[in-house]
Amino acid sequence: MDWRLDYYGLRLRQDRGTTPPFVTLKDVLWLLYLYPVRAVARLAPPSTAHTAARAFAPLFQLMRRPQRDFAAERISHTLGLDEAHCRRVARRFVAHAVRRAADDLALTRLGDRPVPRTTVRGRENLDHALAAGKGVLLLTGHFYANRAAKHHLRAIGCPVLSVRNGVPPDGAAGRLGRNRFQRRYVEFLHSVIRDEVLIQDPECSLRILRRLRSGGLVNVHFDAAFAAERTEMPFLGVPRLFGTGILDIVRLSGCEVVPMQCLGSTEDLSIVFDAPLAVVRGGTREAFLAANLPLFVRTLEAQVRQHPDEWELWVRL
Amino acid sequence: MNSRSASLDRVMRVLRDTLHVDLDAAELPPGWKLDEVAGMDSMAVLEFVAGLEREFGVQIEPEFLELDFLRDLPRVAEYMERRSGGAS
Repeated sequence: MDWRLDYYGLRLRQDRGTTPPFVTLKDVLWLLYLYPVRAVARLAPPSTAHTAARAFAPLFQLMRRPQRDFAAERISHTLGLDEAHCRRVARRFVAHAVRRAADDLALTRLGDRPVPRTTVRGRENLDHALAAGKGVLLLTGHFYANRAAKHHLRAIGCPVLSVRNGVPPDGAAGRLGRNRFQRRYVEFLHSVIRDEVLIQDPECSLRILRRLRSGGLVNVHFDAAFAAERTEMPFLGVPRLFGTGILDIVRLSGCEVVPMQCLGSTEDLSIVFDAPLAVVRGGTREAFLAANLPLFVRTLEAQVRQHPDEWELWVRL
Repeated sequence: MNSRSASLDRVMRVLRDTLHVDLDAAELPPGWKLDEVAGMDSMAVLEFVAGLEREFGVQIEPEFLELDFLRDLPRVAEYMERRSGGAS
């Protein structure tokens, strides 16, 4: 079996040209989440979101069993864990997706307040990088707690410009979901994230540079699918395509790069800043990529290996 | 050649080097904008900015890091000349 890790964890299909179904389970979940669930969450006590998520989680595990089993297979293939361990990791991976949906609702209720019960480690690494005066790129992968962490950082005076895809590909969505609900979901996420630029914005790179030049923070998920130019690198034991734009930004801006790992949820959040990466500067673009792309990939891979259940991209749920 | 046209020539040289667009400054019609003839995708803009800063030895101020400004090459040339003190 060809286990290439394509971007959203989908098995390579022979029939990539087929039309998606009109409606999928994902579409129904989107509909419920965006309308009745959000409406109730606005009115109910803030803790209701997570209470309801825990009640819904067993049903979601059942609904997403094929994807969970696939995630377990991929975890086994890439991390070399025994079957039972993989199944536990995969189960937590699915549960965290529900938890994150509750987090997004909870974050809109927090307003400008920080996330309670948050632990921040390695703050001195971030401060040291900021002191260089060229801005900091926070290097992350798609981890469930990222949005909660960035909300918290904004609330404590460290706003982070997020770079997002305004039209994210989603193989689990049907035509109804893609045409009707995805845009609403992206708009909802904007109300959660607030400080963001979309890659579709022709001024995207300029806005990133402005933020960095002002000594600020920018976050780009290094494992993102969107990229005009990509290079294949071994990742978790299989070849994967990585966008090189993030390295161009680092090269051209001279900014520092600080790995950030965000774990947990709005009920118990952990943010860890590692030491700034030893970026090899100077030389041609090709030399810069050759010297630094492996470093970025190894950094992300280490994060995924340490906390595989918290990484979103095993499979699109 | 006055300093303004010299600066514009330098900007055009950066354009050739970074975006691989070969244009003669003297042929630019009035009101012409860069993206009318050259693809300016997001990363290309950054390469152009970095090239300008290397060529003129100064950093572009954040408030001028906007596409509307950068696509107007005569304005860019005037700005870079002013920022660099007119040194060529």
